[in-house]
Amino acid sequence: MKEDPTNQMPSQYVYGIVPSAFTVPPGLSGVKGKPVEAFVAGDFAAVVTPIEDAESLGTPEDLLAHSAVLDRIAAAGPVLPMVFGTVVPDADVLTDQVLPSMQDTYAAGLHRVRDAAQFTVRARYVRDVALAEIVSENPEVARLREATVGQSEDASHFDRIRLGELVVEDLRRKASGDSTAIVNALTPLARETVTREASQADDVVELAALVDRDSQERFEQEVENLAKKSAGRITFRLLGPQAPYDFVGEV
Amino acid sequence: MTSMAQQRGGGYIDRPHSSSLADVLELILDKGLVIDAYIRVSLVGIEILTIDARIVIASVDTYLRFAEATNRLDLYEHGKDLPEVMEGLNRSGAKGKSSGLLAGVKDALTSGDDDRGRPAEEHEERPRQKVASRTEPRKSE
Repeated sequence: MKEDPTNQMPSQYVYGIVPSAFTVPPGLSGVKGKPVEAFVAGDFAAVVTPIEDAESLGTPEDLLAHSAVLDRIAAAGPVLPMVFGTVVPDADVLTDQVLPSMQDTYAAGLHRVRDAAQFTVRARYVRDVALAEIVSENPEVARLREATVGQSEDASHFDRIRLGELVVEDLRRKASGDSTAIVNALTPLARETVTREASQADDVVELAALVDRDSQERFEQEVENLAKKSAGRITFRLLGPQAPYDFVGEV
Repeated sequence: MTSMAQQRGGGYIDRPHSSSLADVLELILDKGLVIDAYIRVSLVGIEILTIDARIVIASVDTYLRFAEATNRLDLYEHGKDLPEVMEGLNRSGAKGKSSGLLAGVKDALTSGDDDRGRPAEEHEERPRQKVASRTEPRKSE
């Protein structure tokens, strides 16, 4: 959007939709380090940053700012995160179109995430420990390891590929068992959960959980228990409280 | 706030103060409410090279990485001393540069070594295979 000299209203970068009672947390800064504001219409408000040069948006810093703003809001109250990069031409579009247009969607979405925040759990194998298990459990892996170790990479190329393929298969098989235990332990403590597809061969599980505020401590404690139980074998990374990115649903 | 949550627990979990770029890319990008199409909205954004995660896992690069890691286990177990281990690493690293394919192996091994020392940052390694940003001239992977 080019700046129109006759129109002094800046574009609005939209982070998300909140109930109209929302107040911007003090000191919150948004994309490009600019202030965060809220525009109210009816029962809902849009959380935004006025921005003159929307074309400059899209950097990794902007993406981090987007999530930081939303996570900070989510720590205190319900918010429906917008997809990253949502810009409307001016504030009038917010109050005249965006906010009035999807009242039912906003109401249902905010009801779904009320009094809750998202937590994301990532469990991953300690690689050498899992590999040692596989070598001791799978004779073919042990044989191929013996056949390839110390050999030149050219001479043992296909054996290496086969070895790696078997190891990766075994890792995924292990993960399906270990992830079930993790998911079963955490699901009762969450309002909803989503299991995400593995992105690395040594991932155990990546779980997004919508957790009631009242249950957050118990949820965190259970993640801690799981991590303690598998210390040295599986590492756990816990993100949250976050905005409910995985629980906004289809619109 | 995140600072309140950060120190909770007995220290078995990696509990970052705030999400890293890799966290955000994997979890947040492409997620969220989309405003009705009839409203004038522009989506600015980050270009994503859409490499399917499954394809990355089931790839020769991945297999070679894990074969190499499995072979390195052997070195540890048989108690070879460090110079021999390092020699092996250097050999594969030099080959990697010439073949291209193995560059990824070296890279993976190097980042794997880093992982052990810096668990909080291990996921920083992840976005490079998935994401490129046209608006990110500083990124030089």
